[in-house]
Amino acid sequence: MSHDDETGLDRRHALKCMLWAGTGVVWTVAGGVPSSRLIGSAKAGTSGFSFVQISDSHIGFAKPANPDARVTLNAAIDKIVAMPEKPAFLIHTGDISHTAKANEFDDAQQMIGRAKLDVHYAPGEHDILDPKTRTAYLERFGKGASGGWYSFDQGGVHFVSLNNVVDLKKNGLGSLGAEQLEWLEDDLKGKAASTPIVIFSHIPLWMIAPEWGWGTEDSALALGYLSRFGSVTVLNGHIHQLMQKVEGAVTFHTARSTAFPQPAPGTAPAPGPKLVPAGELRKWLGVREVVYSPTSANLAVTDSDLS
Amino acid sequence: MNLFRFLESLSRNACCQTGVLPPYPSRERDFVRPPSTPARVEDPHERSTDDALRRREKYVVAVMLAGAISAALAQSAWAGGPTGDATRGETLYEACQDCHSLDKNDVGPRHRGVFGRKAASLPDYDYSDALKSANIVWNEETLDKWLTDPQAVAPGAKMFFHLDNPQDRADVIAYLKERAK
Repeated sequence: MSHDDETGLDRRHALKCMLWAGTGVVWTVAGGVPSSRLIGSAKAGTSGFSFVQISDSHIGFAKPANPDARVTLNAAIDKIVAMPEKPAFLIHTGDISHTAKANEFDDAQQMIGRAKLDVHYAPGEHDILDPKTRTAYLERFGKGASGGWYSFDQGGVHFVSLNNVVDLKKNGLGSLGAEQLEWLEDDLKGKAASTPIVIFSHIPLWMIAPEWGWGTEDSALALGYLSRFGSVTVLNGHIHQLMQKVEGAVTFHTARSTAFPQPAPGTAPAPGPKLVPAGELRKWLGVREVVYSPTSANLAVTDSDLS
Repeated sequence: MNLFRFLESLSRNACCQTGVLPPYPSRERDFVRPPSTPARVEDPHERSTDDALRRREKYVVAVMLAGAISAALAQSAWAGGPTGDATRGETLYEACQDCHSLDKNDVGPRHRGVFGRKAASLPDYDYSDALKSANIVWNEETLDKWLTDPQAVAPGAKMFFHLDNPQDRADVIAYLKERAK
C-alpha cells in the first residue's frame, strides 16, 4: 500500500467508490480483454460473452458478523437470476462452505443451482481442512482432476482454476506446489501468446498482506509461465474485499464475500470477520447496488508496496 | 533466539559490567527493579578524570538498559506484562470467529473452558498430530506464546492466526479466562 493509502485519504476515497455490493461481478470478454461490472449495473457488451464470479459464501457461518450466510448467498443468486442477459457460466472462488461439512456443500449447491448455470469452483481453505475433506471436495467439485486444478476454454479464452489452499505456508500464505506448477506450465504450452488467459483461485496470487497470509508463496513461478501472454486476468477471493492491481499485461482482482466483510490490511490487529453496525451488513454484502464505472479512479486500491 | 532470551543475556552483560544490578537475577522481575543502592555513589563535584567519566558513562548506560529492558518486558512478556482487558478482548475475539466459537466446534475447537484445559483434549474435535503431541496446558504463558506464533509452538498445527501486539494477546487471553469459562 502506498503511503498515501496508509494515511487514509486515498483508501477512503477508493472504498467509498467501490461500495459495490459483493453479490457478484459480471465479467464480459470482448476483443480478448475481460472487463467487469456489477450485476444489475449497465448492460453488458453485445459482443463476446460474460460470466459471473461469486466468492466466500461460507455456508454454515452463523455468527454476529452474519447470523446466516445462506440468506446473503441467496440474495446474490437472486441478482444473478434477475440478470437481463444470461451469463455463460459462473465461477466460485472458494470458501463455498464454512467448515467443509457435506450439508453445507449441499445447501450451497442447492442455492447456487437456482442460477441454472454451469459452475466452475476453486477450493478455499474452509472447503479443504484435512485429507478427508480434500477427498470429499474433489469428488464433488474437482471435475475429475486429481489435485483440484483444471482448465477449460470458452469463446477463445483459456480459463485455469488453481488450488492454492492445501499446503499453507507462513502466516497461512497459499501455495501451489511443484506438481501443480508443472501441470500449469504444460497446460499453457502451445497456447498462442494472443490467447486471453483467466486464472482463478481462492487465495490471491499477488502479495497483498503476507503478514496476514494474503498472498501465495510460489505465485511468482506461475506468473512467470504467464508472462508471454498479452492478456492475463487473475481472479481471487479470500480477503472479502475488492482490490485490483495491474502489473504489465496481468490484472489482478479480488472479490468481496457474500457472507461477511474483513478489515483492510493495516486497519485491524488481524484478519477475520468484521462486525459492521446493525443494519449495515447488506450494504457491505449486496443489497445496495452501486454502478461500477470501469475507470482507474473508481477501481480498488492499487496496492504496490504490499505486493 | 527469542526476544526474552536476547534481553536476558543483554541484561546479564550490563550487570556484570556495572555492578549496578545483580549479576544474575533469580526472577524476571529483577530485570526491571531499579538499583536501590548503587555499588558506587559518585560525588557530582568529583574531578572529571577519565576513570570517573567511564564510571559515569557505564552508570548511564546501565540505567538506560534497565529502562529499555523494563519497557521491552512490559511489551513482550506474559508475566508482569500487559494487563488484559476482557471487554476489549471480546471485541478482538470477533476476528477469531473466522475459525472458532465458544460453544461449538468450528474449523477450530470450541473455546468455552479453554483456559486451564489441556491442549488437544476435547474428545469431539479432530486435532492436528502436532498439537496432540505438544503437551500444553492453556494458561497466560502458553496462550501468549500460541497467539504470538502457533506454528512456532506446534509446527504443523492447523492454526496460522496470530496477534502481533502483546496488549491484543493479553486482552484476548483475559476474555477467554474471564468470560469463556
